[in-house]
Amino acid sequence: MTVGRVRRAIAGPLQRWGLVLAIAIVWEAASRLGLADPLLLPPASEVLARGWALLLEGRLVAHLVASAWRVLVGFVLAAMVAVPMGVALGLYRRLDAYTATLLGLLRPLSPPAWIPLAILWFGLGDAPAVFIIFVGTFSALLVNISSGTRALEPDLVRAALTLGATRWQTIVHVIVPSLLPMLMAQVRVGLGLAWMCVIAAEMVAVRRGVGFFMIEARNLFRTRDVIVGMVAVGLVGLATDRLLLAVEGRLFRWRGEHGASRYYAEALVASGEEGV
Amino acid sequence: MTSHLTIQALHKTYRANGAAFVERADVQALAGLDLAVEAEEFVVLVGPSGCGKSTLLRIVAGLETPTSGRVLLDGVPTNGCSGDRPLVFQNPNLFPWLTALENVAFGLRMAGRGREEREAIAREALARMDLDRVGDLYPHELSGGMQQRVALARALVLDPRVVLMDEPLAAVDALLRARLQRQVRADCRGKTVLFVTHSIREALILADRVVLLTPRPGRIRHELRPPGAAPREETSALLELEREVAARLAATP
Repeated sequence: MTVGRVRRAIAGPLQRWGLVLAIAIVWEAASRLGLADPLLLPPASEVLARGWALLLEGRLVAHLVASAWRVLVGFVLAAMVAVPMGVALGLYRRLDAYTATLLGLLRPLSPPAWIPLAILWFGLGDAPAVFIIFVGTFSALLVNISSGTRALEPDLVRAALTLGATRWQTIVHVIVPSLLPMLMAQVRVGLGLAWMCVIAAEMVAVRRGVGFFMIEARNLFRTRDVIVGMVAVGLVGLATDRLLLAVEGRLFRWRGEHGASRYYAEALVASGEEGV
Repeated sequence: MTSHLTIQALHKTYRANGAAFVERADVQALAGLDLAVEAEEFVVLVGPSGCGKSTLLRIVAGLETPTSGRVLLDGVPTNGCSGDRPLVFQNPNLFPWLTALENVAFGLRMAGRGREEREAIAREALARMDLDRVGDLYPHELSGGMQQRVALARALVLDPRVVLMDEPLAAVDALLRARLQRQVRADCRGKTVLFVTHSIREALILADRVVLLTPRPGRIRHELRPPGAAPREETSALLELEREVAARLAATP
């Protein structure tokens, strides 16, 4: 009985982290056995130890906080513009014709393509980094949100109207709640994009943040620190995503999972009088 | 005596949106339809798919505007949607983020009724449908038949003068359909009902008056009042009548 319970307790984490663990082991072995130059690929255990030391020392945390702050500001600004615009574009198809060309022009411009202009306009510091996050997440958010809004079920709006809802009530009580899950998913996507942008921006335009930490480590040939920076960003991104997923699950319980609970409802009624 | 719900010379033409290099003709859905429905009368419209019967209901509901003609309720032209003419769709179209109870209470909430009052009314409506035990469940937790009954309760709880139903039982399995037909008739007692179906048998079971429509563009082809009080049993006489009506529909106009 205990063996089974232990196995079950291990199975979940092993499933989620097994592949990462396996890669770390191969990496460690390659480095230790001399298959890779330890200067270019230091052993995983050394990277881990170095990361831990940097964490305790506080320097890594300061860089992470600087990056996270830019991600937050840039993303919130982008969302504040992209959410209302995307919803409007999705609801009123006629607007599409006016914006399609501009969006088509902007989409192929990757966030780093904005770096030179960002530096010319804003110099060095937080401002160019925030600007790059803004342009890097904005068009993706806009496109995703407008197509998500287009998928809105028009019959729900019709049902509300025939039940006596006014136009404004339809927006507040039907359109907004049916768009929330999509918007929440876009927040997760957008935050991921913002982290991609911030590292690129910090490698050129600023003197603080994880991206700066990594590029400085490269200049000093501290490969361990470069990898520590990558792992740190990955972990922060993963943690944020999991957190938001948990919030989503809590907020949108009404979506259910497999409809299995339907049988529960039927059983409930059947146990009463007559079941349908 | 003027009728309760009057439909006058209703025309509806859908304009073809002419994409480049594609020629599409305008589609005429309704061509001058007249219909007068008495108060508390249960009228069932039957016709082939595409005969404009759904269009007719949507115009009466206020979801679409007619190209010409008008709809009068107690002699007053209707304007837009209103809770006194709710439409029950083929799909339940419940709001998935609201519980069954909150769904039923939706229209009352829009009308500005207080929470306690509307929930008491909704609870009572659910109980009449034998659904009092599932009030706190979300739509995805309900079976299709339950969802459709919640949708029906959601419309009836407004105590509307007219109830519009667009094939509400078409997606329900046969056994359940027979039971829901009875329930619809019972719950709509005292209401003026316009019910659309493509099933002649369903029309003969439910209707005070059956109105047969022509294929597109929709016009009234024939009317009949089946003998006896609805809802009717599926007797051999009823099935015989169904065969007659079907033969008449199949014959060229």
